[in-house]
Amino acid sequence: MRIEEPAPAGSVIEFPKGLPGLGELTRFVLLEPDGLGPIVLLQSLDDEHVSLALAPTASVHPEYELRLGPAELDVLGAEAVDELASFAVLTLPGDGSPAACNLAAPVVLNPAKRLGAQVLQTWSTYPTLHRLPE
Amino acid sequence: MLVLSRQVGEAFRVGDDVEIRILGVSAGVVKVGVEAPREVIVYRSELADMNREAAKGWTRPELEQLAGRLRGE
Repeated sequence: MRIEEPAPAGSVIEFPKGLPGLGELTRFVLLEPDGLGPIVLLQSLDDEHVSLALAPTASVHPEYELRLGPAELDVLGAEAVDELASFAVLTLPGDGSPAACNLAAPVVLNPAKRLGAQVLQTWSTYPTLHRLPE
Repeated sequence: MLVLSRQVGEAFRVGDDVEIRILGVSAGVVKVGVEAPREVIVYRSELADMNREAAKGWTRPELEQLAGRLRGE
């Protein structure tokens, strides 16, 4: 979905390591369009055509647990996971199967420091395609 | 594309800092170990494909329908 509204000042979220598959894009804004809650949009500021739809992990998996190592916390400028917000990337598989979300590689944001990263949960058995409620 | 043949237990390097070792082969599955500096992100290629697919964009009606499902409507 294309977003025409300008990014509010100070809202830029930096992804120092980018996102896998999305090349050099590092600057994003988080948009909360009316009527789409709890879904939010992570819109690239470098490429207007790139936008990921995200759902808070708690909204798709009530007991979701995020675990990060020291290096990952470092990238996010945080000391503990309770400073961070985690989101599952919504996907519509090309083969026609229903919409799903990726719980194995959540997008994690540090709202205070305006930093983000996509972090693999290799310790877990969370699926890359988690079915959404019907 | 560079093609290498390796025995189980052998390794190769990508640059000086990344080493990839073949740990085992069983029933068509190859198990590899990656030693890399912690700033190097190692991930399955499918993740990049999934992100590219997911980033292509949604229509407003698709997102409204999904949002309603997530709200339990």
